[in-house]
Amino acid sequence: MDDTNDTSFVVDEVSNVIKESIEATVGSQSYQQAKINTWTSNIVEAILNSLTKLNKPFKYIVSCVIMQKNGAGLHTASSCFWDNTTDGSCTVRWENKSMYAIVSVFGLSI
Amino acid sequence: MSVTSPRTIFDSQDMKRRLHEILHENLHDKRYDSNQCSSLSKDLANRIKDALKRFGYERYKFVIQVLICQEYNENIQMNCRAYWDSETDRLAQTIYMNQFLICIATAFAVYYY
Repeated sequence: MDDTNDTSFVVDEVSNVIKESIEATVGSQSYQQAKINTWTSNIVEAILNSLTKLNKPFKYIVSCVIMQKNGAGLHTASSCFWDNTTDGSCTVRWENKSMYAIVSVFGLSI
Repeated sequence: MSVTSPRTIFDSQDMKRRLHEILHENLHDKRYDSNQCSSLSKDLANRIKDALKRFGYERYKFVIQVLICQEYNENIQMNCRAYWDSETDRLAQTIYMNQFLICIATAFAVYYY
């Protein structure tokens, strides 16, 4: 049972990676239209880099949505056709005073 | 470990057309309603997954993401990246808009060796 950590998708580990990336990129900032493209790219790149450093036999898909807080509603859903025993996903919803960020990571074993 | 190659590679253009058809069928007469959109987004994701399975691509895993947001003059930015095999793995995405809502549906197809 010792090597299940090496070959399975550990949600807590990935959740921490996501939260750290969001905080590091937009943690203390207010919504700025000019910067939003850079922020989403940076969050996604940082997460992918951290995940690949884990050296697990996985392919990863990372998606980040940042939305300005102005009263609009947003819903997101995902559906997966994969192997439940090895594959997994983690979605983190984050907000500050001026924006929402929703980041999803999907890990598929090879 | 033996590595297989796909017999037919996932066709993004076909999939994009099919995604757009499904979104249009289900959303053309809908307004944004908080209660309804919660189940609507899940329902759409499942419909898209079923449609992809029916295409019969062998050894492909699918991840579908559906985002529905209210048309309210807000600014929204979506970005996605994948760490995968660009020879076998593909993405199909479509954006559907009506007066009241915006829907972004993304399908990722990942080959299992």
